[in-house]
Amino acid sequence: MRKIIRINMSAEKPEVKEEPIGQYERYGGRSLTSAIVSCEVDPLCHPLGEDNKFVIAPGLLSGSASAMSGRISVGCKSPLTGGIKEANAGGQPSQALARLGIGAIVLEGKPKNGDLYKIEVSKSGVKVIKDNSLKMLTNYELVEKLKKEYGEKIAVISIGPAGEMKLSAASVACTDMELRPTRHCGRGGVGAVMGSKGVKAIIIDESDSKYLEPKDPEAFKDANKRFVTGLQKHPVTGQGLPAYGTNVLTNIINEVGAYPTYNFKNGQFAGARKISGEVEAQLEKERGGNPTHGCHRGCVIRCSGIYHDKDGHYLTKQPEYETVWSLGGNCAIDDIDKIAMMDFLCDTIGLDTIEVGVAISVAMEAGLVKWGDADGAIKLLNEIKEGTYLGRIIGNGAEYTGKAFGVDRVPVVKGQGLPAYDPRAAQGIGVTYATSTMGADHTAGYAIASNVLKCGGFVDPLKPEGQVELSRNLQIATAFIDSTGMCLFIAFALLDQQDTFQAFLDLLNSFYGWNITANDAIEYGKNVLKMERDFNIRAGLTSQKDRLPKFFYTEPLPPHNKVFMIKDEDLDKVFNW
Amino acid sequence: MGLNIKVRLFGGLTPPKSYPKNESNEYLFQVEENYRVANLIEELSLSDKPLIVVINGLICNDYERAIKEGDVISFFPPIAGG
Repeated sequence: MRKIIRINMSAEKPEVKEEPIGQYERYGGRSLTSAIVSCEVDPLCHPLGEDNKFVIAPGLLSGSASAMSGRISVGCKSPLTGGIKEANAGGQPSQALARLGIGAIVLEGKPKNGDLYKIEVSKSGVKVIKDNSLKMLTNYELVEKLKKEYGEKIAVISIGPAGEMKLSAASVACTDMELRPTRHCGRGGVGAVMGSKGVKAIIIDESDSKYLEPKDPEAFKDANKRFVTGLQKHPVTGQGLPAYGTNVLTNIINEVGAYPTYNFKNGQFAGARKISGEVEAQLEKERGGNPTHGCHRGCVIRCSGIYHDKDGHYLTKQPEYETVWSLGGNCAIDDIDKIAMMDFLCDTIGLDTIEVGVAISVAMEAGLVKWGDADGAIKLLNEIKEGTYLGRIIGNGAEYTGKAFGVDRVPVVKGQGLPAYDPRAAQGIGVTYATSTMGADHTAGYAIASNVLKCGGFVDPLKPEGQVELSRNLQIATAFIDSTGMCLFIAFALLDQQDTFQAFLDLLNSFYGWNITANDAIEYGKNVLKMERDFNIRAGLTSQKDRLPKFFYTEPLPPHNKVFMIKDEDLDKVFNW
Repeated sequence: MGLNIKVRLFGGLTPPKSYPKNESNEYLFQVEENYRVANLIEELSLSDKPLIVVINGLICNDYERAIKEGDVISFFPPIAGG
């Protein structure tokens, strides 16, 4: 039986309470964070106030021996969108927490003074310790300090200076297999909410970690074998992602004219090839890094990597496609080493690379920094670290930056910056951006799969037909997968291979003694979205907020010169099922 | 007179033999009228591989499409990310 750990940070000495998972038994990962936030948080509360809750939940299969099950979700009311937020990441903490029998940690209340705390989680229990020596440490500095104190058999969830400053682009960092803070729950300012609870770090003891026992071990073993075979035989999960990582997308998204650059003014970037996954992987090989690397133990896709600088020293993990786009292509920057440096800075300051990259491109539109000026962009990131007034503006995201500098072309939905695909050249992803419960979020319903990559069929990216259905089905499936602790990239194989999808369901069924079918999975996903939508409506995010900014409807995007064509009444049908 | 086209290969795809190239790493082909995308795929020894084909920025699902003067044709193996 999983348990929920609740920590009241309002108390003079923070109180730890342990309770059975109870009414939340069928939930994990995203469904658990969204259920707790939806049921327990006042939708009208201030996101940084004592009434918000910060929920951390491993997925349903996390802690098991299943491949790919290391995703962790964090949830709260978002300071960026004003709605419900779930952000997830890989790394080691999910498996470590789940193996200690923890279904969720819920941080409640808010310290009355400015003290900073760390939380130790081990077999012997949970301890909350005041430690003001951690104040304003960067994530890398923090983890180095914790290693000296606790040794190397730990997993860490932490915030950097951006989270302590409660900036709306602040992320929550999770350590990877090498105990580096490289995997981030990025979006929506979740780091600011963790910071508002006065918690700098959660240190999870991994020294006595054992796989959780499935209800039916033989069936589980068989399902896992079929699942892994399916992932390895699919060309995307078995070859493309391991060889080049997510940044393999740069060239194809650029070729089809859906690569936003100069703050969504053009759909192609002349420097795209220089910052592509192919170039990144080649550099990693030449410099002694590694282009094929798992972000957590048990990953068989291994799309992450290790990026070294020109002198062969570790610089950062392999920057992901969205990062290379947001801090690179969208700002007209084509220097991959400088983009990698910015990736490191975001990880260590504790920032969402997408939000802060979009904010910098808005600042470039305002003339604050010149297009393509990588050193100027790096300077802005360092201003965030220092907490200057300008840094705090950029660190509060694209919408805030647009307001501060009077920019009217600000690519956000529900206050959250658009990711790396232009909705005018890939109309399906525009439906997801507009309607997702999370604000503009590509992962919520990754229509690029069928609009461009021909996974799960093909829907013409330049026409409105079929996009609502595509986004709806993907949003439902994603809500389910995000609840299991599985990496969303399994979906590329699941969409094309029925036997791999069945193996995935069999993993859940044999682990929990359930008997769920594909239809049950769909109903599960719908229920997650329903809870999230319900919270958002109560928070004031009604259907009028399910729209793209006006310029996407009026400014044609070269080279295809299309605008976003999905009608409002069709966007309103996404959740009519 | 043949039709002049440019071919781009991505994601680890390599040509089976040497073709003329320009400074942008695009392979330069001159083909006859009625040359099909399928003919080009065969020429590049890509027939047995799943592919994503993009012609002039548009995804091509019809490999019987006749190639036109000035076409820019890009080939990708199955890839994804996000």
